[in-house]
Amino acid sequence: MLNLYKVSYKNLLRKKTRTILTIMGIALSAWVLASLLGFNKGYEISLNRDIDNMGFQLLVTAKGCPYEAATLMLKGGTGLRYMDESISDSIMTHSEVEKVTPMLMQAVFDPNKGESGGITAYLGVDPFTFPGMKSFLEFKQGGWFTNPDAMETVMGFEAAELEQREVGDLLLIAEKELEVKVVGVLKRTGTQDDGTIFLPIRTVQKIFGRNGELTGLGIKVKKEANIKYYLNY
Amino acid sequence: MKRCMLVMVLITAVMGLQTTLRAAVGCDLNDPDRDVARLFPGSSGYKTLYVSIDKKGEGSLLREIEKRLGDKFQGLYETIDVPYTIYEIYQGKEKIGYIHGVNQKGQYGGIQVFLSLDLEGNIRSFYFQKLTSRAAKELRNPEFAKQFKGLNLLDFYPYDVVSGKGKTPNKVDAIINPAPKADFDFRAALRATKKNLILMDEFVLGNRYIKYFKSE
Repeated sequence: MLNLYKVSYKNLLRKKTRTILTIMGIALSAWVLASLLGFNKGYEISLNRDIDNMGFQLLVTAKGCPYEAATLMLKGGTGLRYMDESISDSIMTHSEVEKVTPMLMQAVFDPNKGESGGITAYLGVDPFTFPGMKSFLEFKQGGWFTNPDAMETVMGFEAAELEQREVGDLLLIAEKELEVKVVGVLKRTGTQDDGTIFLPIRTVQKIFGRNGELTGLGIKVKKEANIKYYLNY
Repeated sequence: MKRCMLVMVLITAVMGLQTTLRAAVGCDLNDPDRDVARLFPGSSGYKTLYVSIDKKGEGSLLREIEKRLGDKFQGLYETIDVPYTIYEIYQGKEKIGYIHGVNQKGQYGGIQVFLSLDLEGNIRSFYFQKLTSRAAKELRNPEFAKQFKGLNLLDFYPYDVVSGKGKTPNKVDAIINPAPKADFDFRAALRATKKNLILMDEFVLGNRYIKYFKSE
């Protein structure tokens, strides 16, 4: 007696070409589906990793303040505008905000940089929040600061290369004639961090007489947050 | 198979490009047009050559250079793959000299020492393009740079870059440190000058001074 499976099996064997084409069609569809799902998953993971690696998605500055070293150089190291650091607490009250990290950039004129002098910029960062936000930064030598107001510096790869600095060396802050100790040299990242000289924010505030002031506040928002809302805030 | 080979070649090329892009930092003039005219008044043009120890002679050349320098290449940045930029200076079609700079570790930051040389390898002028030092003002004084004028590698061979003293009486010992408090940077400048002269002898002067080194 023929049952359903036997009928199906015999039918498959009866038209071999059709059967093979059908199997191939199903296999191809399954492969495309699996690939697309895999691509989608991989893309999502990659996008999330990229967003995490950005450290922060939003940067708050006082209106008109140059927010990156290159812009600051173009303005001859001038034009910095400051915010009170209490803005950090105020922004943290928003439910969409996951983390914030305060920054203070300062620039000095170094008469011995090149033929007619040049600008050197220093970025004060918070040792407690900044490394966590920029977790993708890896060290070629050393590590982050030993304490929040240490006279120490972490140098981006190209900054360290230009100044020929290694961990344990001293770096002279031009104009201020102060020495800081190099405690870390970062690996190359291909970003502007490569040319940055990082110091603890308290140290920068103290050296440059800018206690309680910031030039930037990096904000990492929660994944589900509506960034457009903040852009118009 | 051919496709496979093509893919392999492309991957190798991309990896090679990445290696090139990540190579060590060289020492270029900040503004070559302006600097060449200043260091060689009357020159009409220049050609730029890029050379490195690893491409010219690999490890054996590095050891030879270190032997002539009397010191090892050190640290993260003084490496075999540093690209050196040499400027050949022309007056019309005639070559009249060279300009070459090297990076050197100073006490508080990087130092870039440029030399302009005549075709025999004699120093025409000595120039700090970059100098981070507490005694930058004194070391950048033109009177300090003048002391290097006319010296060549023969004069620098007896100078020991490690001890900072001459093994035998030599002209380099006569160079006066304008800022004794910045002895580290003064010695760094002398080491950079000696290294610069050795590299120039190796790269463009055809090792004309090597016989003097061997005869010592």
